[in-house]
Amino acid sequence: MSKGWKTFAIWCTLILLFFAFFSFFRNQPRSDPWRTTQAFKTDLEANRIESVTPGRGFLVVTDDEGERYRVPGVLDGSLWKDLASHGVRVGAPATDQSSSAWPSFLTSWLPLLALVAVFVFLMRKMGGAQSIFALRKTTARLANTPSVTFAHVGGAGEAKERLADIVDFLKRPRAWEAAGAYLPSGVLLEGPPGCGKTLLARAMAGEAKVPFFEVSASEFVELFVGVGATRMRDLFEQAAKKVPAVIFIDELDAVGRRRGAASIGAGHQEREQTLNQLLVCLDGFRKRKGVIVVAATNRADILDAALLRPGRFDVRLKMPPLSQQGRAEVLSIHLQNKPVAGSVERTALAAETEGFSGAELESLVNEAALQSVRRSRRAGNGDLAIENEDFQAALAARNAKKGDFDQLDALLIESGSQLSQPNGKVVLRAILQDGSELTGEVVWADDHFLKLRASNGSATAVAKRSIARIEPIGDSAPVGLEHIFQDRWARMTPDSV
Amino acid sequence: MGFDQIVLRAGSFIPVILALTVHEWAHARVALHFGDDTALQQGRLTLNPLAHLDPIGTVLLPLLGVPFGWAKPVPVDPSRFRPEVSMGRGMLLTAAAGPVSNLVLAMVCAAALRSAAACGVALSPPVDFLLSSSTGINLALAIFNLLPIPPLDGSRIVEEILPFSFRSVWNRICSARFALLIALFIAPSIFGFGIGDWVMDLSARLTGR
Repeated sequence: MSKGWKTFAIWCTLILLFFAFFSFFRNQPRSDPWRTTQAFKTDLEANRIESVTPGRGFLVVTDDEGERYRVPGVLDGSLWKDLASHGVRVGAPATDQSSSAWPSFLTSWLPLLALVAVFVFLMRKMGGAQSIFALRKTTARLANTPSVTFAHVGGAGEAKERLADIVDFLKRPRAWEAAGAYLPSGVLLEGPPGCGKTLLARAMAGEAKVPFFEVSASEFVELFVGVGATRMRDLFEQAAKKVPAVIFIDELDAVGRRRGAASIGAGHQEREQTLNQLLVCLDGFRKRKGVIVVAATNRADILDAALLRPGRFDVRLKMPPLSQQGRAEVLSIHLQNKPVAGSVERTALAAETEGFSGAELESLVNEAALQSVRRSRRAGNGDLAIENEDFQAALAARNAKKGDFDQLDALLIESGSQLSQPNGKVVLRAILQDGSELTGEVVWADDHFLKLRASNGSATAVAKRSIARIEPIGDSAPVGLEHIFQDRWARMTPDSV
Repeated sequence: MGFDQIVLRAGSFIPVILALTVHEWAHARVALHFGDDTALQQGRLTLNPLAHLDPIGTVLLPLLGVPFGWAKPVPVDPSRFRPEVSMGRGMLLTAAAGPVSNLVLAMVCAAALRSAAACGVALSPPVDFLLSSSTGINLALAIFNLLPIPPLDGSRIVEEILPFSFRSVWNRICSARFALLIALFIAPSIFGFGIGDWVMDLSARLTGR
């Protein structure tokens, strides 16, 4: 609808302009046609002349039908007499057309002005996607004081404490300047995915009530060489206009990768150029106080050393895994605006979610909420509340997703270990070198370890070389699975398989 | 540059924009009718002239007095037509929609002028100018676009009508399109009579004056 109105308004404006244009130019004196002196003489003899107005070197004649024309000549004595004898009115001298500057000015400049106006307008309109100049603009999104504050960040107490100084600096820079201190211009947040780096940066700006520029480092990477560096500069220039401000660069490793290593091809050069620009911009802010750069990465190990030297990202905050108390805080934040039954114990839940990151907790709460809706739909009654059982179902669903592998196994897989699983169920008893026994189902085996899950569900990883003997239980003979039991490096197989 | 010329030029700017906008809109609308929403996605299915404006073809050239112009072409993707619409026929009708819309607009304007004359209503000069110049411009645009020279709509129509065995001949003609276009523009100065005069004559007949 609003689009339709816009179209309508544009057409109205155009039509109005058209009419204004017309009415303006219609009132301008149109140049009258020339006629010969003979024609004028004939008209004069026939008494068809109403009035004569002298001009510069010509006469403007109006006949009795109101038609006007011009004849060359001047109003001399003999003509005057003639006119008087025929009762012709002699008007005041017509204002010379050229004496009014407006029309001539308009005729010479109007087209150009219109052109310039239209072009300026178009440049503004098309400043969006197509323009090559637009590529050089930063793609950062600006939030004028984010609504998130530290109150929305659960756990991460230490990080919040360290950032509180910077927040205070953004709020009242005078006090810090008076002490002759300068604050770090950059903060690097490190942590595994989903631990709340973005949220923390956002909350920092929200807490200080300053503008927040959010950009992903990958947005600096573009087809054209030099665009990344230009965008970086533009970002810092934009931020400098809004001092005090926070710039947040997400996934810094996209441009901050260590330079020099295996840099073959132009792509690397482009990234290095962007990185160099970032380094320069960071240095510049020591002098222009009031812009804090916060960057987040989960690969701090591959960052260029120049980024980490003092004066750049000199505050490095590692986001630790959430403590139980932290998880309880995060849970309460996510449960805040949800219909939660009174029976839900946040501390107990926090205890059950060992190792969960903030994002995982959020997804858990969401899953529980979904479960509660499903449950109330099944029950058919309208009351909707997230119960303990919903959380249990959500946790179970989450664990089911991971299957036989638990969190440690997932970690092993992430670190590149090759875990092999037996084909089918293999239950065995392992007698260790020290005489103790372990019984259970084989979960996986890698080069050095074997993981057995006992019937009570608890799983143990045991070093293969500590196993003296393996006895299959039941009909699950580990045929052809010798390689699973062999420690490749120790060149050792349990005595009997 | 004479004073009257400027009035004429700037005054006919609005009919030109109107004609080009309606032309492009018609392409987009018919394409959507057949199921291709490419133009809609790009925001071209609108009568808003800004969406169709080409800074050079729609603004610069008409204002400089070049009797020629174009708008941004509406993209049509025949592969997105609904399955029951044959690509060839859909393309033909989509291409024809632009010129036809201009013809309709020209006829509406001419009819308005004629009925005003028949009823003895004296139109105010701007309205009169708007209607008569709209008739001429729309007519010119429709006829010009129906010429079977490749970038123009007429070529698309011919392409679909031609039997398949003529394709190679057609393609050879198409490769000379640039020369053909130039020939079209210098023809009036060589033969003393161009398509423009014919259009003016037709426009005068339509409006009845």
